[in-house]
Amino acid sequence: MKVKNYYALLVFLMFGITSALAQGKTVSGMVSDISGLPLPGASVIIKGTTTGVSADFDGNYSINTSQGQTLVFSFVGYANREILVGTSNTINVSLTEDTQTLDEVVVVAYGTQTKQSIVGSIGVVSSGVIETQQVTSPLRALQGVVPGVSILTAGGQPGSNPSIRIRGFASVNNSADPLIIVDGAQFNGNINSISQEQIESVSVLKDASSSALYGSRAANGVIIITTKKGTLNQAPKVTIRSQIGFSNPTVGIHNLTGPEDYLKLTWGALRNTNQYENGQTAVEAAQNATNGLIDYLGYNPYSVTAPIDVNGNLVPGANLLWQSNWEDEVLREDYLRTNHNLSISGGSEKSTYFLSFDYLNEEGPVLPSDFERVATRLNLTTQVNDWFKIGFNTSFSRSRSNNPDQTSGNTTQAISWIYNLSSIYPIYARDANGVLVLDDAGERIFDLGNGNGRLPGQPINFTRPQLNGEHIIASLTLGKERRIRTNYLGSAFAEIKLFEGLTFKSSLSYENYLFDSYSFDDDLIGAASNVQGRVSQNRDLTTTLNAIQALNYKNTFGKHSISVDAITEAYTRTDDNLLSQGTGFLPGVDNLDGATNPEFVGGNIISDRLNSYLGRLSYDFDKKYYLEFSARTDGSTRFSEEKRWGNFLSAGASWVISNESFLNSNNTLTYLKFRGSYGELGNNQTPGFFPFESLFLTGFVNEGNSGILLDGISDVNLEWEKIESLNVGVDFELFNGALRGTVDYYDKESVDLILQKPLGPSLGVNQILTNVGSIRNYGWEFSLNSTNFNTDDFTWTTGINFSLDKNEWTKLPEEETVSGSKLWKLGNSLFDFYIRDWAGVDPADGRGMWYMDVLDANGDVIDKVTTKDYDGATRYDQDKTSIPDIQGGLTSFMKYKQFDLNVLFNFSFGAHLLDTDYSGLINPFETPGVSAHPDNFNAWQSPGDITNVPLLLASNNDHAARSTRFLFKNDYVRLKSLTFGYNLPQSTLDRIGLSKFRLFVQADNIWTWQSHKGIEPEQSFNGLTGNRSPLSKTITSGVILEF
Amino acid sequence: MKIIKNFNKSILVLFIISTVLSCSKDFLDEPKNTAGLPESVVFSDRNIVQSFESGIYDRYKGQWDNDLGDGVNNSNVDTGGLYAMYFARTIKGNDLIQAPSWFLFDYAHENREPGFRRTNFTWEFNYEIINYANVMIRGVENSPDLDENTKKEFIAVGKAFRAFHYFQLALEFAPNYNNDRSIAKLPVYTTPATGASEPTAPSPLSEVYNLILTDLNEAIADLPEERLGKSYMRKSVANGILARVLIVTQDDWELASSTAKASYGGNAAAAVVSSNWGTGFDDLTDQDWLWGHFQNGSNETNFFWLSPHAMTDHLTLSYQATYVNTHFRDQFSDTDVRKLFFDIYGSATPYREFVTTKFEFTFASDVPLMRKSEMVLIDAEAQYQLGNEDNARSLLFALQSARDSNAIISTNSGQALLNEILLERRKELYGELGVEWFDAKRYRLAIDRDPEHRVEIDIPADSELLFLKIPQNEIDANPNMDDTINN
Repeated sequence: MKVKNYYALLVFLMFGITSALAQGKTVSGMVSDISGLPLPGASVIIKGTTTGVSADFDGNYSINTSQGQTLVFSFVGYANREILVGTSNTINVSLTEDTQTLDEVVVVAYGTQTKQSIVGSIGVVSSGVIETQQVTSPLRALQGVVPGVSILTAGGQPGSNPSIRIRGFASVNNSADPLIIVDGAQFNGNINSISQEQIESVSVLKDASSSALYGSRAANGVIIITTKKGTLNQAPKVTIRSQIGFSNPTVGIHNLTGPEDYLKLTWGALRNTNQYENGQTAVEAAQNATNGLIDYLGYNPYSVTAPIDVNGNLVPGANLLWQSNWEDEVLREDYLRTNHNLSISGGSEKSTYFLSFDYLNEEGPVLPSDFERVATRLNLTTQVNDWFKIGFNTSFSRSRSNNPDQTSGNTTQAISWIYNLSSIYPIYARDANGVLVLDDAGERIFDLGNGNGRLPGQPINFTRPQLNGEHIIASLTLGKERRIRTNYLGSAFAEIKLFEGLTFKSSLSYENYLFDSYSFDDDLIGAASNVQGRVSQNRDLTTTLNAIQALNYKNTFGKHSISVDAITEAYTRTDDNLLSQGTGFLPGVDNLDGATNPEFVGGNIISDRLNSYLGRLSYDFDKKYYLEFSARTDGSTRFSEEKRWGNFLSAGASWVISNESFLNSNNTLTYLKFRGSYGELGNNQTPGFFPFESLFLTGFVNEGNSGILLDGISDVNLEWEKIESLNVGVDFELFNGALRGTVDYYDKESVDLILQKPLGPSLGVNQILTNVGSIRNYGWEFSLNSTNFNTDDFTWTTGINFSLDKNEWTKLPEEETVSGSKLWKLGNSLFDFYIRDWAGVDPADGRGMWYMDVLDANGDVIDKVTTKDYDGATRYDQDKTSIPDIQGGLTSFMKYKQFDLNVLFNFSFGAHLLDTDYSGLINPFETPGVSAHPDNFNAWQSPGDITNVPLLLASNNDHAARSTRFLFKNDYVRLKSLTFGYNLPQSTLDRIGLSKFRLFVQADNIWTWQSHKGIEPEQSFNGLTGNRSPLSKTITSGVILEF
Repeated sequence: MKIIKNFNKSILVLFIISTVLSCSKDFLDEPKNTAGLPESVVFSDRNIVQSFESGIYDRYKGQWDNDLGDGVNNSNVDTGGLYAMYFARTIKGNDLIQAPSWFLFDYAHENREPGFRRTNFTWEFNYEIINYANVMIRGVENSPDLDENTKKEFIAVGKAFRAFHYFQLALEFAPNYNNDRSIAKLPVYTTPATGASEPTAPSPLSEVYNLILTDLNEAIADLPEERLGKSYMRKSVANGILARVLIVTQDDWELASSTAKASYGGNAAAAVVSSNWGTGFDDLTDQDWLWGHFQNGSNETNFFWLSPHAMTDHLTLSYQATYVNTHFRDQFSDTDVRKLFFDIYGSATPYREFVTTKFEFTFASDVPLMRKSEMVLIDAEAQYQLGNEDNARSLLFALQSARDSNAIISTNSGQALLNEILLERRKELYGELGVEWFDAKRYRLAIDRDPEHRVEIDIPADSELLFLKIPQNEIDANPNMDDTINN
């Protein structure tokens, strides 16, 4: 007995001694890439422990380990390598670039996670993708890259921000914009103040579990922007990027007729009205049309008195005296875009820094629109001692832009002008013979259409039937619309490691966004000429303060890992708005000091606050089974005290099946993960900061006494809109990452939707904003990426992503509501068209027809007939929406030796567009002077003609009224960006002393295929056009230098 | 070392946490809604409660838009305010003729359907002010800050508003009160609307008028005579409203007479003195005027919207839409100051023969809503109904002699005297309050239009054309009402 024990003890001792002897070995070496270049800061970790070191500037490392241990070498962007420690004390390792693991660490809500451990649905866009596009408003780069994200830019004003919808439309009265977080704090400034070059990555949090930590503001998804930071142990790296090129409108606007065609068409309309409305004979009608044409239009651009003869043709010998191509005058060609960027980043052993200056100057399609911006950023972190780390991120951006009105409903905005005034009206004033009239200085004068600068009594070329007293070129060049945006964002954090695994992080972020909008309407020409000019200036200051205190505990016990977060957050936003407006200016004076009549003053300071407590628990077992719970409680000042607090919970789980024993060694299916999550989020972005409070409006007056009046009633019990969201998904990789994909199914329902509920008018109020509806968004998202070739010389990767989205009402305050051109009813989406059905043109008389239901005595439909009475025609639920059936993007990246080519397509199929820009150009002749589309030549001419364009008429008619005739399929594919680049080879770079030199040509939006031609396919989510300016296609060439 | 390190760490952590947690309680209570005034502030100070009343008068005389805050302007000239409601009544009679301009459908008696703008406006406008009145009454009652006198005064103001507007609704949407007091057309509310409110079932006219009478009596008891200006409703105006109500209910002529006297001051000869005849009928300061809309032409004006002035004044740029029936003109003696009728067009069209210059239109014209002269005539009518025909005749003569130097006291009696009083009401109040329509309803008279009219439609006695149908919006939203209410 004693002998056995003694031998056992000896064995143990020997092992102990051996292991003791085996400890204390120092292994050192160098970590480099395949070409031998050192990888500074590479990490070397003893596998299975948290012990590790970082390689220094030269890639050298030194670590205390022992034989039998495994060292794991890793570096961002490179594949890990594990080396067993043997007898040697020197281990040199070379790592190969691994494109697949580039996104291994993902920025998530309040922290980072490895891609593997994510249980929700997150789309990540790296800086590599962002830099292949030229986006002044950086989030435009998400289009066609992340499935489930809909991006739409309305109008071509440079600097305009797109509307973003993540997974459908979850709110109607509340804002449906996603929450934007920049470096951890809510961003309330203007997105166009952030330069795309300063962005490291963008994470789009789409489902409940990923965004639950943002609880009350996360209902519409969250977009997290992380700016670039320096890396430890990195020599200062200077990057210079410079791009310059020019742009043109992508698709432009609808075709318009020139003077000859316009006169012919108007003549035809007059003739038809004379003949078919006023009962004249064909001969009389034609003669009267010839005689009355110029009278009707007011101007004659030809040299003969009656330029159109009785057959509708141009009289021989008629010379064209002028023509105004308003589109050429207002829309530019070949306008400039320049962008220069200088960044310096690096780090010592303890600190990192990133400094960037960006200058952008972009002109837009409408004269004189432009956007000029300077954006600077400085991000610093430093490890004060081994338990205390602090960081400071600060950025300042100032932009100045000229924003001529080009998308509003104003009849005199740039695009409306082009559509509303035909080419026969001259730009400069002329006399009755068409000769230019000059002013006293011998200069031409703009023709305002009201006889300006000329003696009264001029028979023609004097009074325009439309838009008198205005001139678009005068208002664009003499008026001013200037916007200055200054955005300062500063955040500081302190991270304290209390003990192993437990960290406390406190961060404070401050943002100051000043929006200065200055608008000057000329004193002599235009809408303000009767008050001698008007200046209107707004200064809106938005300050945001965000304080987050977070406690995080992370630990691993064997195969179990847990991470617990406990966070508290306080957020406050203050809007300080000031407006002043004055009239009565002397010529040449355009600042408010010079106003002789102060017209209007306004100002208001109002705040919005949020206080929250949140927590997250993540658990995983053996890196195979993941569980995550989060809970958040928010108190918002937007609701009354009783309803202020909301609780939002979510749970998610994932299973990495490929790590199971039965799939572990499978070489085809190398990665397979199932994930699912369910949670509840809230939306507190109500219209107005205090929607629950009934307010008395000020500003009334009676007999000199100031008056107030109650403005409707508010629901004091108004509460959070809630979204219940389910997500299930699969991530997979085949052939070791050659093929990678994800499939997601989501189903989310917005309940307690905030809508206007109609009230009985005897109550004294017509409607009340209350929680009363539900809407459901559900669909599929797919993405597939493949690495087709990956050799030393040639790489080719492709990717496709798309989503299928559906939207439907599940609860409404009234059974059916007609909302403009849409019908809201259970089962319909928000944007289902409800308009009259076009039934074609009657060949017998050329009149337009629509369908009409015939009802019996009980109100049931017994028949459907055609009618020529537009008011009597029935509106039908078209089963067509403006929401696409499928939308997504296609990417392809090819690299051959030093050359590379990257393309990104985005596409959308199944959406419909009600083109009122087009319908306004069809048969517009009842309003003399409005531009006409060449398609009018297809109109019905005589009995027996088969055509879809009804006869032209110069009298009141409904031929171009809203119907399915103008409802078009709006499918399109756009080559969103194409980059062709050349990188100087390493050998040449070494000789020059640079680390990177790249020349490239970049083209954005250069090619579009569309099912409905003539107008920009990106119009609006509700499928209505609105005289918007076109987007731009840009071709630039650039150079990137790094040293 | 480690202990000091931990100590430093914990201090730092505690410091940060404590600064954060200390502010959390008030943090969410602090922000206040500055986009307007909340109720608690409005009813904390007499001046602000007064400004609520001022706001209501601004709403009366402005360009009425049914939703102040939605950014969409739904206003129209013929539904612009209280003045528009009165003119729509004015033009329904026989004495004035409307050209095809604003109010043409009211003139032709084809504007009463449930979906029409006239119907919706009249209903919504009156009910909106009733809700304001209920808000004022409840807000003042519950206010912890106001003193007793202020409370009494403004509760009375609220009740006066409420009674006035229920009276307008009863006249506009129901047949004559005395025809059938049990007819139920109007929902009645005495508390403000809240998010939880549901529209109520219509109450019979008897209940509506009981509320009106109770409200007015209580209001008159507490209202002072003093007021900020003559567009404000105080004791004399409330008495005037009560007098008008009583000549509709016609069951207490004694009270009608005394109330009318209280309204015009008791001295009829002094009360009827007016400086407005022949000078444009646009000056609120005239001692004859008890109540009106005030305009100053600059920041208090509704520009071209003001009826009756903008409709009747043909001598200025305005709508120039109203003409005068030659037979009505013939009723005036040539020395009557009110005979302000002229043929300025020489037109062959019969209805366009005469216009009136009673009203002069400018952006600063004031509109009469109640005059002492009207009260004197009410007193005369009440005295007649009480059998005191001598009193009736002398009161009538007080007005007639003030308007016509050649007037002689009436020798009529019985029905002829009543007819003379009703004619005098038309002669005195033409263009102002819809007097023909008002009297036709309460006395169950017909309105026979003379052939000169542009639209010659005769309204029989008790015709349904004299009241509007209940709006479709109300029927649809009110579970206690269905389409049968308009049968």
